[in-house]
Amino acid sequence: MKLIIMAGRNVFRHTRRSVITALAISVGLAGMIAMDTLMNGADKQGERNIVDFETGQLEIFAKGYYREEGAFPLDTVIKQPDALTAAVRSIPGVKTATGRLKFPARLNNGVDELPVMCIGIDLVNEGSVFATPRAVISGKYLTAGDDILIGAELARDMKVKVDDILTVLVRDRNGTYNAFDFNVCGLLSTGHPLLDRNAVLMDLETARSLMAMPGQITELCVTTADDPKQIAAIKAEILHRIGPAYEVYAWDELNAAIFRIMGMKRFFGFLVGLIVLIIAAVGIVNTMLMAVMERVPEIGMLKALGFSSRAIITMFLYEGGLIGAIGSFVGTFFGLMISIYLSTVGLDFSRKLGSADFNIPMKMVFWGEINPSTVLLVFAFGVVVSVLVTLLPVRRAAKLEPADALRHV
Amino acid sequence: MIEVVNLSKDYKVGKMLFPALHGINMKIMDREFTALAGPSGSGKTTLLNIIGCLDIPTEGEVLLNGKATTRLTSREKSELRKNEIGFIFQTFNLIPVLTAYENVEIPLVLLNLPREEKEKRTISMLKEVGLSDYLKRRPNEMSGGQQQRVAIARSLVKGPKLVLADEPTANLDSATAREILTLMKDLNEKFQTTFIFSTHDRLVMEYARRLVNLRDGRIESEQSK
Repeated sequence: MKLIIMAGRNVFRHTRRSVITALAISVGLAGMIAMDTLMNGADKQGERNIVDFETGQLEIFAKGYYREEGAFPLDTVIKQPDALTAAVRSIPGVKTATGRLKFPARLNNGVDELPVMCIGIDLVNEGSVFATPRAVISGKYLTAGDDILIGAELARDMKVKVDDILTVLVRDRNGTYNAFDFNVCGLLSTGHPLLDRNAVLMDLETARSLMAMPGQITELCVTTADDPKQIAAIKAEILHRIGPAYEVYAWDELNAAIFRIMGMKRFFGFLVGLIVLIIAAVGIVNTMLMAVMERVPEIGMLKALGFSSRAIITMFLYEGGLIGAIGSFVGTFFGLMISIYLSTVGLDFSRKLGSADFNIPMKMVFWGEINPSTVLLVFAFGVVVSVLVTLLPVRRAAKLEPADALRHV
Repeated sequence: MIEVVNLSKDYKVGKMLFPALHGINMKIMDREFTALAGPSGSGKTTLLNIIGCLDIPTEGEVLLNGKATTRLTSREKSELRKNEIGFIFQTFNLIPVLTAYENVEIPLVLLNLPREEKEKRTISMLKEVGLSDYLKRRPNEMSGGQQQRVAIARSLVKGPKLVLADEPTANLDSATAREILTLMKDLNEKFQTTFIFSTHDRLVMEYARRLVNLRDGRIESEQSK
């Protein structure tokens, strides 16, 4: 206890020096926590956008479709969706399922023409799997056969507004070119660039008619029980029940490349924080080196009184640990404050970055999401690093013969 | 009893050897008040440090009550200093962040005594050195003489058999030096503690009951009063 009291008072022997060292640790830790919050938020936002707007939790395709998905292989589609949907819905753990028909098209406003992805959606079941109905920011949700919903950014690019007429040009399954005029009934803002910039949503029956694909869908999107740990088991059960004519993928498997990129971004963000913390650790070594060097005669006196090398090392470790703990506490506090700001207000990059694409399914407005385990880990990391780097200068001084230490100038 | 047998010490600086002590032989009986006198570089501090287990001799032995301290391990020496030897330094060597009370209490912390016992002994010892009103003062709030009194209290608080003082009055004016020496002598008599101190000051030598003169690392002469 006395050692802790002595260490505590020694920390404030050179208040300015201790404060600067602690501040360096604080900056490092606050940066690490804020960066993690931002990256965690981006991950979660990306996950939500994928599950809520793109895939659901599981997607079922006809065998061979997913491998060629980018080329829209309309020969490899689900031809009896009603039977499949009924079979899937009967599996325990499955909440519901809805079919979608995706196909490439060109969208024409009379002046400009842009390539888009059309998605035929089941008006009855779409809302039970996806959050699409809640993402309408202007106009109304799909009701009639000649209505379409388009992404807000696509509408801006095409210079159209609600109730304008757009022409959708497609090449149907038989290779015949079709053109059909649609009324823009609403604009979507999902936060998912794929939908906001490229998608045209229409009634499933209209899409089937346009593509000459009666009764067919390209994918069946499934929503399952809330526990994400059950998804793998449900997927296995679905595969077992529906047989080898189909293939099933979980949402994260369908976006593995995106999550690899996000993981790398997160890693590099953390690395930047770590480098700052290493610089701070060098600061602690420097501070403790000065503290040890100027107190070598005091170490000699303590040894003369009977203090062991171990007790002296412990006292200095308390000092380093205390500076680390103060720095880590302040850093964690400010890191959390920044994180709370990021979680509630967000960070809007849209003006600076416009429609830049970072291969992440989210908007250019980042919302942070605090990860409590990271906050605790970073705090502990700050304290442990401070204690460990203190060992370096202290060990040698504590092992000096008392007479040598007392003679030290 | 302290027995110094054929003690030599060389310091190595680079490749050069500097002899500090040459075959010192002496005995110091319990409760003696002995001064090691001599000019700077005569080996006083080196001899005190070796007797106090703070330094290692190149040759020879020191026997403390028949036990060869030079053969002890670092841990055993540490234990010996903790329990049986008190030190007083020329520059007081008090811990600046601790109060007078806390500085005196430090040796007792290592003895794991009950809190009440530590408090009783610390206050009593500070009273002995005339500083009962200065318990909460830090070293920078006290005069040199007062700081040395705290150091004396610290050296005696654990009840050691031996107190070693290296030039205890060198940083004090002559009036304060007399006060400190009188105090040390009184405490030597009261607590029956052996005192060995080094000095090159004639005034200080007057207080010693036994005077051992050192020159160039050898005992030049001895006088007892």
